[in-house]
Amino acid sequence: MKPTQQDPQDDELDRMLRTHMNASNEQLTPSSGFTQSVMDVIREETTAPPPIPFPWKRLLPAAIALLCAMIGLGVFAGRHTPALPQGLSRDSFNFAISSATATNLLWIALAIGLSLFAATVSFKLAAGRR
Amino acid sequence: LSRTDDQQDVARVLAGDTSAFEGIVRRWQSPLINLAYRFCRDRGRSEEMAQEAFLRAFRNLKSWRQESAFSTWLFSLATNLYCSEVRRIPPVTLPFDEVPEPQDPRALDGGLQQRSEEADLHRAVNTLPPKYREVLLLYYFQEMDVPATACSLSIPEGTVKARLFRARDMLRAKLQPRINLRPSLSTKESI
Repeated sequence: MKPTQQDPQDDELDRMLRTHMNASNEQLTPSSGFTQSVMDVIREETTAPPPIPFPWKRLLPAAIALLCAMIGLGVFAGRHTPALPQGLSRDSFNFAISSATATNLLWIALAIGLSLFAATVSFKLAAGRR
Repeated sequence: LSRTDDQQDVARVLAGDTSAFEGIVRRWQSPLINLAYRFCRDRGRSEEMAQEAFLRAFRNLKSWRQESAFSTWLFSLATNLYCSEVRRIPPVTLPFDEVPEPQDPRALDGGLQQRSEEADLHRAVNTLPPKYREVLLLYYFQEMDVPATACSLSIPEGTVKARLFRARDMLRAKLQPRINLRPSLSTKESI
């Protein structure tokens, strides 16, 4: 792109920018040890051990066991429901249980979602820094 | 700077010969340090930034597709890094209007006025908003090559031209009271 001939001030500004930005006092010479220091960093990077991978293999059985335990607990709790207190009808009890369960499920789902989100973000951040 | 040399060195590095990267560093250290210096105006920091650029280039060497010149790829990577570095920690510059005009009794002799103009110009460039400053620095650093500037910044050529126009406009407004922008005799004379 050549400087325009329309505005003489443009030419002058262009000349100043060209002259000053490429002036000899603007040209840096790399310091003598620069190449060596770059190569040292690169060698360090290549010789460094790879980052330890996340122990999915160990974590997965534990997570499955925990899930099974929770399901088992839920089933056990469902079979051993306490007797109805006197003065409480079956319908109102069922309503209370179902609404409480729905609310709890919502909270549980929300907590799991947040945990997954936090884990994903932290993994991405950690991967980005490598 | 040979394109073949770059290709050969990259191939060797990708094949596992890390020492071949030294050739790339030797060939490109000066342009990369000088480009960094345009952004941060600090010699020590410019070497640190250039070192980081080389390290990133080494890590991402596989992503060079060889469709474009190695220099284009390297400059684009370095420019991205320098822009984000300078935005993260901006160089220390006083607002242009707060800088007192130099009072030097020898201002009429050769050199001093020019140096004062240079200082004014650099301060004015450094006080431009980042998106205009980046385009301006790259355009003049890359010998006024709009496509190369666009490629380095990953923006369309039209945007480069528009930002250059706006940047010059802002510079002219900043410099007008201090520097007498006189009309040049000819464009060729100034080259």
